Amino acid sequence: MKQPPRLAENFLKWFVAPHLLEPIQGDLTEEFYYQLKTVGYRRASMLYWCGVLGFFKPRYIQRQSGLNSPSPLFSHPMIRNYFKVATRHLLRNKTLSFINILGLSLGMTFALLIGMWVYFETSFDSFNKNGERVALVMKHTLMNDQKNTSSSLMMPVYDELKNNYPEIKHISRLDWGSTHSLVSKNRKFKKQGYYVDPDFLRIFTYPIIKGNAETALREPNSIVLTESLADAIFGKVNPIGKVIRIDNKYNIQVTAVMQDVPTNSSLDFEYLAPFEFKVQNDPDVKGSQTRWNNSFIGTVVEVNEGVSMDALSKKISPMLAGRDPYIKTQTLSLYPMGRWHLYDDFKDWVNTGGQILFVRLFGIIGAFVLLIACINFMNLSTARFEKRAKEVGIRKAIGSQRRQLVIQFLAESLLTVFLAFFLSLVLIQLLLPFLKDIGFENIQFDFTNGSLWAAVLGVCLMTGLLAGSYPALYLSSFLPVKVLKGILQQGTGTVNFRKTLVVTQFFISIMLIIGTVVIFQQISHVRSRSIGYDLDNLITLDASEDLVKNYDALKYDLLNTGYIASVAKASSGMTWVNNDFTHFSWEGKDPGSAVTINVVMTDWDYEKAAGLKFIAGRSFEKRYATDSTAVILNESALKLIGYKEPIGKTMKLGDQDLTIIGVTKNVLMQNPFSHVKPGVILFNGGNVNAILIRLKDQADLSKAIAAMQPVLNKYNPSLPFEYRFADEEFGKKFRIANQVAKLAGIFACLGIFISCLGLFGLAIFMAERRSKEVTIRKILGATVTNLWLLLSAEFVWLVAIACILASPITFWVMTKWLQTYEYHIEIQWWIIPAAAMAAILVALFTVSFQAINTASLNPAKTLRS
Amino acid sequence: MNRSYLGEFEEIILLAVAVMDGRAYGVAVMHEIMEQSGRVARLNQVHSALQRLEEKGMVRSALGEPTAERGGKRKKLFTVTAYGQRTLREIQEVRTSFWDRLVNPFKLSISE
Repeated sequence: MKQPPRLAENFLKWFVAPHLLEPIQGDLTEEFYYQLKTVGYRRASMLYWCGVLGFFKPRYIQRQSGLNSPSPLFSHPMIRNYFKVATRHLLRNKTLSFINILGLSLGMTFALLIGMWVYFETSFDSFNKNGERVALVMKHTLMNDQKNTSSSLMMPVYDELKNNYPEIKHISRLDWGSTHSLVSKNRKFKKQGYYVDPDFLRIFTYPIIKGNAETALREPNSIVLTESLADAIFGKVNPIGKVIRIDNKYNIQVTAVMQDVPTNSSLDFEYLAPFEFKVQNDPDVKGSQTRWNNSFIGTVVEVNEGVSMDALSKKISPMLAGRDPYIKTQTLSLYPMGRWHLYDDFKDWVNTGGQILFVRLFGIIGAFVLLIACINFMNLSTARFEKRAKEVGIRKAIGSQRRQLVIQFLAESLLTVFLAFFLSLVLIQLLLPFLKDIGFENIQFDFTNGSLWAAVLGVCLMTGLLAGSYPALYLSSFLPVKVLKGILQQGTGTVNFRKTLVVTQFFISIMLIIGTVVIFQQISHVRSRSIGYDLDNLITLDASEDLVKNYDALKYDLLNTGYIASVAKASSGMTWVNNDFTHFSWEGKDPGSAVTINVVMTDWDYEKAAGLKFIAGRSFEKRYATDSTAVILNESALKLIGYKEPIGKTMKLGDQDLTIIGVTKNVLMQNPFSHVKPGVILFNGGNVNAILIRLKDQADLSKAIAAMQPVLNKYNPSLPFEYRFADEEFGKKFRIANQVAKLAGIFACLGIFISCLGLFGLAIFMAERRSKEVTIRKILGATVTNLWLLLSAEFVWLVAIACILASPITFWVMTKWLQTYEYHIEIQWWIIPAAAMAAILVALFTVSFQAINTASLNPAKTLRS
Repeated sequence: MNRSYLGEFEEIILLAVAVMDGRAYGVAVMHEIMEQSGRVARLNQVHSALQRLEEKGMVRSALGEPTAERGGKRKKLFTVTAYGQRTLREIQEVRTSFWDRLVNPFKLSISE
């Protein structure tokens, strides 16, 4: 028998409101068969089509509203019901819910913190309006057969660029920041500021609060203060036009006040002064204006709109060729502002990466941790699947639709996720203060930032849907008949997936544990290395002009306090080196080699103040007039020069002969992770940057400081009394290494915690699965200990597999990492079994809780169901 | 006139439902009208008229048994309510009173 046209019928079914459909469909069909008999199939079909289309009217299309519709998925009472049931479930399994929420919120806290950090790092310098047209000029040189890149330039470069390159719109020199004393009436400050050209405020669009950016730096004797510095100096008084005495020598006038430099600025300063001021008042700078061999200024340019940065960079590249006879290979390039912060590393003259590596790495780790937390959440949700399965069966049997069940499970996971989210907000607030020293000092959760909230809530929603998707789709697919009959088996696939997950998590955790231990060992190894001088009781003062001028009197007075053993002046303190000279030569030096040697310039008593240890010879002494041309080597320098009997031999500095009078043990002044570089001590009391003060061994520190204070106030009237301890300064060299160690430690703890969560979920799942088996074993005489071993062994195996996989890889990675340091430890073999044992113990502890719980259940209860 | 307004087509449908006495459903009503009045009625028009009548409370509906020629779908059977009957009678009375007052009834005996 012929049928009504299928397409028309389906179309009708699709558009007609369900509650009207049946009689209409029936009538049309009846009419079709009537027409079929009277006019034939073709006409009947056509009439059927006409009939169907006749019903294509709003009256028939509009769906029935109200409670009687067949699928009220999102009606108010249903939504309330979803959340009511979800809350009841959370409350029923308090332990599980707590662990679940805690695990997820830790993952979220971590991901959010990293997200905030990544956002901060990528926002650097973005406040500058002309940012994409601003660049720093970089200099690439070939020295000691090494390709070096530096932002220090010679002064004539500025004039060349300014006068001969029309592509450049604005250009400014800057010294790389220096601290100066600022005095107004009786208020003394020591602050970091930049000397810059007037264009600086046009290139960088720092907001000016008072005064005029165009004219602020035009007069040499002017200064632009940041808001907080202006407040500190002048309080509520309007600072414009006020006079400040700088370096206790010059009076300069405040011409503008700018907002404080944002924390996400690559340049950091508290005031700006005109570079011309430096040119006028510093004879060295003045003399360098036309010198092509003295690099000490930075140059920043803003190009005209439409100018290609790359093209200009190529154009300026050969400017330095042939300018300095000592350095044959020297080129320039432009380094765009957008790369300053994230791409801060140059390797072989090429701007490679730097910070961006960490941004990417941590971004990936953050996403990964969140993902693992989500998977654990899914696992824990499905672990009690048998119980939930029965619920699903009954719900379905009494008429629940699959869609309603899916929404039910999603509502549960969303509720959990949002609870976890609020917990993580609390955690972030609690944790941030502890993260200050690992790069989080400028990061805070800004509760007023709408887009941040949108992003965060978006992530929450995503997490909730992702984490809830598996239980929602999987559990809701159960057939009620099977579930209620009790024949329900989860495939081995999911079990294997869980096992793989646990192995992966422990794999990562073990790597992190071993890594952390190795990093800590490396740091403590370097901290305890021999440094060639005495760190304790050594105080360093920054040399100001006044101190240098009054040095002899200062030294006399300080020694007279009775607390101080010796005082010396030097071109650099013990924890840094200011000068490298290239023009040393000696007998047997390869004329083609370019070698730099660290130079410290000092006069008498340096060895006493620093506590140097001599291997041979002596230090400078007043009774030898010839010491003015004497030189003291360190071991590395001696090795480089290669003299067998060095004392009394000579070497040359340019054309000047120097007599070697002593050799010291290597003094570690620079990077503690590197070998000590060749260094010499020259007799020159004219270049002073630091004053070293050695306290007597038994001196009471606070009394010594109290005794020093009036002496320093007397000879250094324009500066506050500030001093540094050498051991603290030395400790600062480990700042980054300590950060890495701390981060690795945090990652390791988090990794272990999350791994244990995964294991815990698996343990619950297995315990539930094997509860009947365990009971029967118990009835047949197994003790709780037997059962505990039985249930735990499986998991210990998983962790052991993770250990076996992780050990060689970690060993390789950490060996590679250590090799990036010249001075490093070898990895001790016992670390690996120790870390493995620790992981296994933690895992055993996690599992035992569940295993013993299951093993001690009353058999009657388990078997009754 | 305080009763609901009834359109001409609705009135015919209502009459048809009354005449069919419990056997009235969409297609049947349509055929009845076509047979009795010779005018062409479309199914969707019949359905919407029946729907409107039901909304006005003049007919009441109930689902019947499914039959094979309807593809297993049930009929929606309509019966006239008391209100519907009263309305029909009122319309009839109004018309009769007008006819009675007609002075020259057009010699309407043409058909005879």
